[in-house]
Amino acid sequence: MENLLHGILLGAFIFLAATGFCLVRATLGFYNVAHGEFLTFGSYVCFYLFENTNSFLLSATIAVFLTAFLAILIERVFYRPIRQSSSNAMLLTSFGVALVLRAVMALIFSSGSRGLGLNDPAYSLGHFHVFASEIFASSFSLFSFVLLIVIIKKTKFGLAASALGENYRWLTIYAIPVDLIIAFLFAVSGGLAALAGILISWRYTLQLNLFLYTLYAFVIAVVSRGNIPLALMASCVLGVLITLGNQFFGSPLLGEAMAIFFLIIGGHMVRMCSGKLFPLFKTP
Amino acid sequence: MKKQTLIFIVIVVFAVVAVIAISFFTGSRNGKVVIGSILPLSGDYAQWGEQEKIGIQLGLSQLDPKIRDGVEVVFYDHEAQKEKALDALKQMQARGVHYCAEIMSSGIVLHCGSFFNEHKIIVISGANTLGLLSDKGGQYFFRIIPSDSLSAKAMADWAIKEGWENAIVVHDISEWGMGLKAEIERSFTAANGNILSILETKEGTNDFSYIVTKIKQETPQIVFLLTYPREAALIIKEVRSQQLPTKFMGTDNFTDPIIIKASNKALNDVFYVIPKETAATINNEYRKLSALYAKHTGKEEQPPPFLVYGYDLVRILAKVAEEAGTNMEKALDLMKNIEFVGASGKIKFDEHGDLEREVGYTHMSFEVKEAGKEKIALRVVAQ
Repeated sequence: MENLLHGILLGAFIFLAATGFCLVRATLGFYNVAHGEFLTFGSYVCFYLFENTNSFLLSATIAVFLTAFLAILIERVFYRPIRQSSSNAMLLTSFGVALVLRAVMALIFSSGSRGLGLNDPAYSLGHFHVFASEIFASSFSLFSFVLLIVIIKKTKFGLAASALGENYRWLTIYAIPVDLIIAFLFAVSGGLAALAGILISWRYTLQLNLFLYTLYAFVIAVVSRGNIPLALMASCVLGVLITLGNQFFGSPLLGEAMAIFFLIIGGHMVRMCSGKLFPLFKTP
Repeated sequence: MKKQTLIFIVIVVFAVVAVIAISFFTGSRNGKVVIGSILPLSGDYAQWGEQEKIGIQLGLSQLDPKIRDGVEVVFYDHEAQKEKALDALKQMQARGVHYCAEIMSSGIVLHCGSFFNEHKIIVISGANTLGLLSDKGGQYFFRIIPSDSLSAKAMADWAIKEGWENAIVVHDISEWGMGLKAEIERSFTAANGNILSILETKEGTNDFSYIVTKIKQETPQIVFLLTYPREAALIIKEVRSQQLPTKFMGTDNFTDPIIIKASNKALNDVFYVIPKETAATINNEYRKLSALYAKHTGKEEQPPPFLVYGYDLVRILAKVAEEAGTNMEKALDLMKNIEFVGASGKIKFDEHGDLEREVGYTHMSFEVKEAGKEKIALRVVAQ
């Protein structure tokens, strides 16, 4: 039971990191590999602001907005000009963007792991212990999940965003502000990534290389194909599988690898058996 | 006329290229002896590489002006990648460089060992502690940092002396972590200690619940944390959140500030061993370096261990390079017979290129005065 809860909490961090990745995959049909760099950017900006202002809330808020702005900028400069190309072209471009962002951040921010320097108190719930950062991560995960579902299902904006994934050109004919919608999606994607990066840095450490979370996000996006409810489920399952895998093997090397393997295999099996689950982004 | 001009231009260009190429591919620049240094200057270990780089630069600044003017250090960034380090060595070899002040990381030295031994490049290290390097480093490898076998013995003896006979070992899966684990196993069991479990971890890991579960099940008296500082800090944080009174012991990498920052400052009963020479100012050289470092940083703080070793090793190498030049037989002979008093203590090598002296370890612990910020002090438990 304890391991199960621990795994679900780990899943909350993974979901926050993966949501933006899934949004872009679902609407624009490509995997934005540069998404992982948004996590790093957000966490480092927060760290530097926190060191100077000593206000975590203020630093985190500014970092989230700055990362959202960066995401919009990147979409405008790199992705928009090639939006009508194939998804492979977009994918390759995102690799390039990721490399450039990584290099720039390595130059600006000194590398090496370090602590955020913010206390992360632990609370007891019977036999179970939970950190403040985990409470925040799970709350934000649930909140962003509900908010995204409401926006996508109940608003015209969300409907148009869903339609983007179906037929991009069709929307332009109907004079729907596609550019604005995509910019908004990138802003949400970047903001959520920054939030994930900040919470991960608080719970664990600040790192220039958040490769592991980029990998998790990628796996979740592949398994869920950008479907948000499925991404939430897959994140929790992955968290639990990692915890159980590590317990079983006594080593994260095998534990994490087996967790990812079983999630991908399991995801494909579920899809094969039940068809498309939760067609959230499908147009009516 | 035009043809003659063309021939003249071609000759001039050829001469310029030849001069550049000759100066590029030889170990001396403007008559200087070039010393290479292969460090992680970007990536996850950059802070350690930077520390040693500063030490090397400070060491150079303290050389006798005659030697200093004849020596130049060229830094290569290996980004903690074996292939990049080997590539840097190949570049050095192509330029005729025969001296290398550090190849940081034991695994990387193992990877590059056959190359630098084959091409007679003397490598001196102040960072690689892997016990295996005593044999596998080859005759051109020297180190001024004590081998892991000594720190493992110091940890094992301390634990047994305190009556902590049942232990869990948590180790990193790198060559360094595996090597240290083997040394602890040998030393601790030889001292009649009992190892209950051996658990692995790797860099970047975030889930440590399996370690907490094992500690709960087996209630060890001591947990040897042979991991990198980040992972050690997170394991301590995780275990302390469960209010388990487990004792932890590690090596000198516990001096990394991340231990305090990422562990939630829950550092009661956390111990580590550190070579005596880097634990206290014991000689004039160390005091001199401390003053230099304070001037460099503008803060009154002790120089970190890698900086101390960098400061010493470059001075040894410069002295040897200045005397032997490209005569590597002579250089090897000088290295084997060198006696040098540096900031890290007295340096003399044995037949394996290891330090030939009694290395004492200071027992250290963290003293948590208050749960507030910056209230953690390092405490010497025993010399």
